[in-house]
Amino acid sequence: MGVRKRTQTDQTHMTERLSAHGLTLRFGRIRAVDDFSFSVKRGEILGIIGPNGAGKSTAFDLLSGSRKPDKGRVLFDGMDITHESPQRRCRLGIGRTHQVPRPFENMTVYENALVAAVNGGERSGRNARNDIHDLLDRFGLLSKKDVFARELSLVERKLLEIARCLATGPTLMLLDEPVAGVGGEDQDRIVRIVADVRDKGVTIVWIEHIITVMTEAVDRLLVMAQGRELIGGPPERVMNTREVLEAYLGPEGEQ
Amino acid sequence: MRLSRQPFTIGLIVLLGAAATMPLWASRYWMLLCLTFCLYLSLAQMWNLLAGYCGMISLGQQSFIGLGGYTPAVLSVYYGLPLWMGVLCGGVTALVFALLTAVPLFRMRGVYFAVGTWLTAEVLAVAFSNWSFVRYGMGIVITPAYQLSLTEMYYAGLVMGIGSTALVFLILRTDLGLTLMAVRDDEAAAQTVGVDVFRSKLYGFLIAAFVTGLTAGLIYLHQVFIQPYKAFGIDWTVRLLFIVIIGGIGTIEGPIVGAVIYIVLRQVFSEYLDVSLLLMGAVAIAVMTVAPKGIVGSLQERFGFEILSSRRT
Repeated sequence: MGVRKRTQTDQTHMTERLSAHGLTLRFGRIRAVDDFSFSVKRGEILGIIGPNGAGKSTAFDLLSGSRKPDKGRVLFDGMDITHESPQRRCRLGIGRTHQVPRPFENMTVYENALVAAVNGGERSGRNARNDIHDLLDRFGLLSKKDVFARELSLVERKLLEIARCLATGPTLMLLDEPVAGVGGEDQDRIVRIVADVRDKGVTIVWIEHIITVMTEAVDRLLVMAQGRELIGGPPERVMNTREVLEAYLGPEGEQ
Repeated sequence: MRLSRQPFTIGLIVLLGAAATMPLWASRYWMLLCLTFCLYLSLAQMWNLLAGYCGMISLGQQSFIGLGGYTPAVLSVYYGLPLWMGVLCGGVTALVFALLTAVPLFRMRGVYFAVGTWLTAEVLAVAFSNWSFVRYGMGIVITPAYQLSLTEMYYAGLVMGIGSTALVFLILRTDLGLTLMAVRDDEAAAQTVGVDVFRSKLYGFLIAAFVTGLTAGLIYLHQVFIQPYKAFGIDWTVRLLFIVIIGGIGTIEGPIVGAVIYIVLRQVFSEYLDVSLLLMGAVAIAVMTVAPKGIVGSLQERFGFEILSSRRT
């Protein structure tokens, strides 16, 4: 029996890249994340939407390790990583971008990506060089490679944030609003880049407020409210449920 | 824009040649000046490594200066150990002390780290001034150091000054240097790209402690007399701060320019000893107003060049 049970769990782990079980984090009396559970399969793009303060970014903090949960567990490729440090999680393959890009301002674009490859990707600076050039080229940042990050435009900073994350060689990317505040054309560009990254086999969890982008780009959509999952499933179905319409459009939304 | 390398290389060779042959042609006065410059340069490069490249604003370099000075004093006076061996042991003592204090100190950040390092040094000052073994506050006269000639001291100092500058330059070109700069710019973001922040900072801290300890050994062999409240006094770090900030923090050339200015000002103001600190302060304020990033930093920003560039392409 025991053997059979283990085989079963192993199989779940084969398909599940990341799962959270009952994650809870309180700030004083507020439960920012409240008994939150979800999982994402290998190669899947999971979108997370939800009103401001729903706990989306805080949930990312718990998954990437920059905050520790009061309760609950995080499993990555079947391994319990709840108590691992952020740098360890990064080296295991979890990449994360920030809602407001946080490049290393006094380093060049190239150095930003290089430092990620050297640490998160555990590569030597010399042999990462060509790969980083290719990476920056894909992001249209190659011409800016020797420019200090502090001199970049918002779109370029957003692109660098994703490129730097990719340079760590992740198998799972947590994208926190990569297209927010970006104009239409650049929005499409970033969406294409993310799709391209997924096609290369990277699993993606994607927080965004722009619903049209979400419904088109993701395989599955999860709506968060008050620190937990409100509803989840295929995007079209989720977007047509009453709770979501009410949460986004107000009680009149059905009409 | 990168400056053409050639004139720079020729200039550097001439300068190094002049420095290396100085005992043959220069007067005692100029050699002393150059020695002092080299020793301050070495200390300043290490403070710059911490503050300018690792984001650790230390106000406690005097911990390592005091330990680096007392170790050769005790070892040579009490145990008859050769002076240079004592200096090396001083570096190691500073390194071990840095290792022991790193865990509690690294729990503090920014201003708290600064105050923490300062208080650590104050504790050492009090401890040493109450310790009979090191003759309390009376201090130790390092009698064996009388036998050192100025030429010997000069070459030791020269190696230290050039060595520490080269060391910082080399560190910045390694993966460690790159990583330290990322930690300086954003610790949390560095963690999310896989940087082991504690370990990187520790390496920087240990290197700075070791070299500062070595340099302090030379300083006290030269001064021949060591006393706790001077050796563990914050004046040391204040001077380093002055040098690095007016020269340009986070640049390799900054401490060089800053140390030259400090040495010149010290000579100029030496006639007005009681107000010399005041005058130095006025100079610092003036420089900060005109060039907020220090002389080298502001020039680099204006003209976009770096002579000793650690940038990767």
